Amino acid sequence: MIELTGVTKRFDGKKQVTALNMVNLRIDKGEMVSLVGPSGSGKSTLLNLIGGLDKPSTGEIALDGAVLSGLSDDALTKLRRDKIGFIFQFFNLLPTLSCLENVSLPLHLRGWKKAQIAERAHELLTLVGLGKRLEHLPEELSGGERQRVAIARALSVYPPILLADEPTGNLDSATGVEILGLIRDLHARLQTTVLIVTHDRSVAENCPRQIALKDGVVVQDRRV
Amino acid sequence: MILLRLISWQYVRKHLLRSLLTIAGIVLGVAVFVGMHTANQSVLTAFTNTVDRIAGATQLQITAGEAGFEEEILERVQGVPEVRVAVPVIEAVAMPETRAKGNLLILAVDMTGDRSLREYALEDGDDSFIEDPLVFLAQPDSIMITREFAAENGLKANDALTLRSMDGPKRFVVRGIMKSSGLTSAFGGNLAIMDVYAAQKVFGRGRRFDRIDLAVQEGLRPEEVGKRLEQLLGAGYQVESPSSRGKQFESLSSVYGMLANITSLFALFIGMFIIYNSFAIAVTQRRSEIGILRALGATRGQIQGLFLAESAVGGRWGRGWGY
Ligand SMILES: Nc1ncnc2c1ncn2[C@@H]1O[C@H](COP(=O)(O)OP(=O)(O)OP(=O)(O)O)[C@@H](O)[C@H]1O
Ligand SMILES: [Mg+2]
Repeated sequence: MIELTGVTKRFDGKKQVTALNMVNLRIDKGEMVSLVGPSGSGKSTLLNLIGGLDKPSTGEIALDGAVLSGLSDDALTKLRRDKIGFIFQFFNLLPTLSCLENVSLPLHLRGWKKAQIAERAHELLTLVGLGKRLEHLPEELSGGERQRVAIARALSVYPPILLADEPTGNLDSATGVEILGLIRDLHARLQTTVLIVTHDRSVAENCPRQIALKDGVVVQDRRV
Repeated sequence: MILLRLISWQYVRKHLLRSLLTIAGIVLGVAVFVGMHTANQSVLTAFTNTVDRIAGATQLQITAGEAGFEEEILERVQGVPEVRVAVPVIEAVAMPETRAKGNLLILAVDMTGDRSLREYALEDGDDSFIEDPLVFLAQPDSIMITREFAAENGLKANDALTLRSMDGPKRFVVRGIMKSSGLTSAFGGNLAIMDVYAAQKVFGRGRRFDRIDLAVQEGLRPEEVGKRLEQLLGAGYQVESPSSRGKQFESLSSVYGMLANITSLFALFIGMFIIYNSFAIAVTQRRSEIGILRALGATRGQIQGLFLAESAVGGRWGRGWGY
């Protein structure tokens, strides 16, 4: 369960920007939620805060009852490691590592055994349809294939929460549908809580709950 | 560490040039420091060696100003039980009437007793250096020169050699040639050895010596023996260690040493700057990589460990090459 109470995020630059303004939000375990809004409305910021990559200026965020601001840096890292899978707006694969190694990385960081790592990484790359491209470097893959590697990496640990920032944003619509199908499939199989940021209407409408942000404020929250 | 293999090695392979530059930076930093330090050390060592070689194993030297000593003083010093060996020395500077430039330092020693204090490496084994030792000692014009000096001036055994001294030109005959090592290298070969009693005659010293070189009995401290000798001989005689006689050398070398240390420090500073810079650049260029790793659940410790391991490996390579 994800719970935000009175979350505000300001960025101090030449001009102060309020990216999020008093956001209250509760997402239950196993929900699949889409997050829409114009560019600059604070979607990525919200995801980063939930994932513990950044801290709110005021307000509190709790994951399964654990208040993030109350955690030490290491505890926060462990929480992120155990609970959260990230799919970034830009693929963020490590360019020097092969597909297999990119997917293995989070498992290495968790200190898994080699055999287990290899097995899991194979399983997930096969799942996203890249079972035959294990040794390729990201630059040798198409955009859609890269995004699929990123998804496999995010899911490699079977995270209870999946945060996806425009996973289909850089893809053509057919590939986008395919990727979304993949996420829905995983959501159904593993009861993963999914939060997808998207600009794509059809992607948003495929989610049972849709939230809209504007200027850092939740302007719509509906379930279908 | 798997992380190191997974990321750093791949990174090195992919960015060979950048990695090489980083390592080259470390190489340069270490090389500059080590190089400066070694150079300074070897110059200092050369200075010290020169002082040491002239002095040989001499622990104390007795002088008495311009006039020098009577032979009787030498006997008294040799009679002191704390003195292991004491030998008379006459030093003279002469100008050779030859092609080669530069003065010749003539060290006149007691050919029979001095070998226990100084090391002369002699050509053709120890005893054949002199065509005939008896002739060498019997003839006051006998002189032993270095191999370099002989080669420079086209001299060989039994050739005549005229030297201008304070008392006018003197004619010598080469009756021995020394290898260039130990003592002789101190003057770059411009050193000649002759018998001290012959020198008394040739340089008009009468029955006097310039100096007494001595070594004390095993286990005794030279300073204490020195004090005792000063008491024994009374005023007008100085008993000093060769190193304090070489004061000029010493003050020169300490000034040089200080200068050398300052340049070393500079080099160290530059070296540190280069090394710091290499890594700062590497870390900045890889900030996004660090970000991704953090997002994927790498702890601060894991990332620090990665960079530390990397710098350890890079540093080891760099240092290896820097040397
Ligand atoms: N690190 C930062 N420093 C300063 N301002 C920032 C920073 N990150 C985001 N912002 C600002 O916060 C606001 C929200 O940014 P955010 O990235 O959350 O938007 P977004 O909804 O994800 O937009 P997009 O759809 O273009 O990705 C923007 O006005 C942005 O300029
Ligand atoms: Mg965004």
